[in-house]
Amino acid sequence: MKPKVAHVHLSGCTGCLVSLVDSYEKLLEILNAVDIVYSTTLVDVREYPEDVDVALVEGSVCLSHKESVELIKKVRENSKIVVALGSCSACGGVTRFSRGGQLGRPEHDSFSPVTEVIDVDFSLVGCPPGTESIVKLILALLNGNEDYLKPYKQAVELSEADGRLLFKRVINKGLCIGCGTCAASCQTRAITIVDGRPEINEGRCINCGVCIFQCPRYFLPLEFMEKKVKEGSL
Amino acid sequence: MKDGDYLGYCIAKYSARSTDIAKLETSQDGGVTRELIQYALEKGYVDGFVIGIRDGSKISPKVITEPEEVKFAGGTVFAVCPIVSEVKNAVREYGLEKVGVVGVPCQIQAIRKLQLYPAGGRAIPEKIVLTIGIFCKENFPYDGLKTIVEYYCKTKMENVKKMIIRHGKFWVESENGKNEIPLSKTLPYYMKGCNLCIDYTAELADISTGSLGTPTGWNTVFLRTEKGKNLFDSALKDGRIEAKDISEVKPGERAIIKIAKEKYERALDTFKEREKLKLQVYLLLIFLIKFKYYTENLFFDECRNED
Repeated sequence: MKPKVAHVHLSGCTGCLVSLVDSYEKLLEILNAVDIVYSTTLVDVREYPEDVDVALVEGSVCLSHKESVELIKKVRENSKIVVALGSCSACGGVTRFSRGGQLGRPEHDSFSPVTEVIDVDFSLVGCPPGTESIVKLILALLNGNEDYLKPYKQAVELSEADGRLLFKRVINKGLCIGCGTCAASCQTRAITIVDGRPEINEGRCINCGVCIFQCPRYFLPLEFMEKKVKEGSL
Repeated sequence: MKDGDYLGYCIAKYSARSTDIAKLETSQDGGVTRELIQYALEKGYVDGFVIGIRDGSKISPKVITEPEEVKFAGGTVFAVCPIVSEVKNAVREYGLEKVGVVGVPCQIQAIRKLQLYPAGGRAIPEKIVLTIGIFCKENFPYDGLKTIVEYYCKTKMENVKKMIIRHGKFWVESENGKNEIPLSKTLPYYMKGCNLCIDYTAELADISTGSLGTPTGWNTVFLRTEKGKNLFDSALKDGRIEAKDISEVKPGERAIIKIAKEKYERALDTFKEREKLKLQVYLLLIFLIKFKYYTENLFFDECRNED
């Protein structure tokens, strides 16, 4: 039996789903391997089903919207694995700037990442996460590749990530080596390397957390990487 | 750990140099890295390379797409150069399908991580086809290097022709001759992030090159993957490079293992010192050291408890 996969859409822009769809023929590989049982954009199912194997949750939870809170609780109860897909879901992302007061629902003022509301198993940051990273994550989930998934499990703790966290975790701890990975991965090009260290234009930072996740001094699965290089698959 | 483990996995180890006299004159050592870059560009192994290029007295990452541009790349500048930051531009702005990267070990680690976990690296993983790693024990922030060169070595940065670290000495060569200081004087200026690095020979690169372990004017070359071996072998066949097995030359592998071991042990000591502090020992450390060398069954949950 194929694994049952649900795509849950909360307060977000569908960009993460679009990023996944960008994988073209790889998407077919995934679609052939799974049963999509729930997805606002793809499947005509209104009630969140029971016994879901993997739930991919996109977007943050609007705490002032009762239905969203109930849905996310149900997602946790009915799914074996919950993946926070994308920055809104994993660390708030651009929805961290939301403060309500907008028509038509001015009372919708409180948005929290899924990782703060329920227990999440894996977390993938990025606005949107790179196409290949979503594909690799889903394939690793389907194949049960635990070694590969460990960093995503760890990244659940990045619920308050933003550009400043890079300073707190890496630079303030004397770990930075000025390689420039944060600048390459920053999706709004808010980071430039000045005198061998990142400089963050905070007005541009959208709290996506990719810089800290991508930093080789945040996690570095050396053994796993060595294996991959030895295999010749990199 | 066995001695060989300090050098990582290798298919073949050589002592090599370029056969191009002009390159030898302007190169740090044997000019192998430059010869390989040029050869790979000429033969279409890659469409472009991200390398550090001297820009006045500074060094900054640039994308090169023409074999001739390699002439800007000669000689080592011991300063931080954010190579990885330019990789995205190579793929997106230059539209290159096959990108090569030349970097120090930590940068190669970053590239490999970017390939494996490309959350912020859309379209990058498959386009990096060749990585050349350069031996590195520690690196200097630009202003630190400037202090060493201008204050201690009494030479203007602009006039420096060559910087060399060898036999426990740091020296610069310029038109006014050679100025030399003991390496110990430079130690206060290197980046302290390097203290936590365990990789001296760029263990994750396709090809690693360096000057240690071979006679002056030659390069040590480690071939680590099939891709790297193919490139090197065909450059060898075309007479662009001459090579001997590393066992035939002095001082040979021993010298490299000694430094690699020093670097590894320095990281271990730093880690142990950090452990005594109340500082949050972040997962990186656990990954860098514990994950590889202490234990195999260390999982994230345990890491989180330590926080």
